Amino acid sequence: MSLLEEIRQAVIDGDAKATVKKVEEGLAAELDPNIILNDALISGMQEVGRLFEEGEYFVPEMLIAARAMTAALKILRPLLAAQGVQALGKIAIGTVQGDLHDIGKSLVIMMLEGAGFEVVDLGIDVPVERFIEAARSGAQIVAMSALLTTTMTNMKTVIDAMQTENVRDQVQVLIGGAPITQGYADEIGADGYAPDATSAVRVARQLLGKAG
Amino acid sequence: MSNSITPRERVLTAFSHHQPDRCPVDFLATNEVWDKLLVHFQPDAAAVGQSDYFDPRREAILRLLDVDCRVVSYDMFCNPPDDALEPGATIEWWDVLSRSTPCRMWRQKLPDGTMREIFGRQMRIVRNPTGAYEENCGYPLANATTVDELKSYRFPDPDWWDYTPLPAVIDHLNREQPYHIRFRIGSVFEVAWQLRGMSSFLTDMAMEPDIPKYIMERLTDIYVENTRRVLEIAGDKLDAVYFYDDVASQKSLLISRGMWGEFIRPCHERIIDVAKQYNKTVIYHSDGALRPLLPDLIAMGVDVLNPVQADAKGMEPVGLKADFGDQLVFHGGIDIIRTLPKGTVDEVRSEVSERIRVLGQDGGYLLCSSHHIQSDTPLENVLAMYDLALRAARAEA
Repeated sequence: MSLLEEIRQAVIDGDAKATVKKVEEGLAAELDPNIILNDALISGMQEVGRLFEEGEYFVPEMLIAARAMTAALKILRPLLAAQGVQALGKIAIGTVQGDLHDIGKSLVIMMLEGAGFEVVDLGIDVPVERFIEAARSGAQIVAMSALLTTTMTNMKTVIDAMQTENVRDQVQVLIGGAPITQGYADEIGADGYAPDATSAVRVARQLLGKAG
Repeated sequence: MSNSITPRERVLTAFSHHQPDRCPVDFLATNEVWDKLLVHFQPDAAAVGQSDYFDPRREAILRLLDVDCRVVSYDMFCNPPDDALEPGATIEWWDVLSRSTPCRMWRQKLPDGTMREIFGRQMRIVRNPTGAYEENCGYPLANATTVDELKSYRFPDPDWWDYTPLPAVIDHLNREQPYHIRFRIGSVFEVAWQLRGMSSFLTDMAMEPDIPKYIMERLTDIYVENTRRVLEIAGDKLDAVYFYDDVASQKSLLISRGMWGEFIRPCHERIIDVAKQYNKTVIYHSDGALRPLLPDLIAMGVDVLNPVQADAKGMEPVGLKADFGDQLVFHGGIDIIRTLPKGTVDEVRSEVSERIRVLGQDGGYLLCSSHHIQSDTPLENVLAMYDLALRAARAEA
């Protein structure tokens, strides 16, 4: 197994210590950080997403894989920045006001970061104004999550406020959560709907015109 | 017709997989829905009689809706010592927003407005456009890194509960006619992760198994002893033991079946075992796509499954009834995400009839919402769901 394959496998296994150790070895052997990112870390998280979709992996396995990736990214980020490597895109994400249920959002963040996006986590119970601020401060996608039928209506409130505040044209709006459907996304004028974490990556790529 | 059989007998008939005179029903709702019903019915609480343990106006609503089941819960009977309370805390019995039944629920309210329930879970009130919900807001075991640190946490002692009033409470509920009454003991996995934080807890299950195991074992010790004491004092008046643990999402289990078997199953088995020692029916609740665990749950002794979310993967009523209907009773089934809040009265009626037709074939079904009826549900949809004529349709068909 090549070193890149070993790093990729360590991510899939959720072994943060091994991931970091092997990334350090790779850097010492002068592997290109961008190649480590794409061919080992992102590729590993893609496999994790596939295993999750196929029902072999569950939330705990995803959590520890994402933890391994995050640990490796800490080392790589300054090197990537020095090389001028850009993230795939910048996404701000939060659960809408009134909704504190964040496990779905956490999974989406993991998969988006795992795919190479820069993610700004706005947190839970996020007021309308914070989504607007996120649109103003350079997020290309604003993503909203809701678990409750009683809180999902706040997605429309955010989109309407984006219109009023003249930021709607600057961003793509992506929504998801148990009660959300494509029909609801169309009804409130969201640009994309993702039923789960792996499709969130796919839809985010499409929204930014990146090849899937 | 309906006077010849009591609510309790109706439920027991359905639970024994025989066709009762009409489909039995249960009722769980958020406060906002209860309030709409109180305004609508203006029920006569005096006829029910005052109680320190349940709200007679809500009890009167259950009678007006011809609801067959009643719940008595561990949190009605908490009585922890003063030194277990937070500084400046006051005890609240009636203000818990997640109170879905007529019963009171113990908890303490802190000067900062947050709440602590008996295990130390921390909640705060979060408003939404049509009401409010209480949500977890802090995790007392979040920072523990070893089992020794967990050992210094003050878990409740079974002596913090006083069940001596329970038999009289049940007698009061049954004064006019006997209902099917279950004892609700709570949840292991959910309380455990709500003490630790969900992401940490799930990560621990993969990395630090001793931590989640310790927390869940301590909770199970408390539940088993509580259930034993309850069944000792009121076992002859109780029909079932109910516990819950959400272990699935809409599409799959939250954790693998292997991990569930290692961590959760042993705790659930201990609760089931004590219920079975007293020959009680076991009712288990988990939201979501639970089908991969159904053979295990049946083998463990679960008799009744709640809530049957028909839109979750693998939980379609026709397939569930065909594959497990001879071994499991289904409780729930009326969709709170779409049909009840967004559907028309006719759509509600049609879903009720369809569930009774499919899940209620040869008994084995108790009609209820798939979770607490939410605050965005129109009153007419709630009333349509509880139209007595729909329940009898099966028997008359």
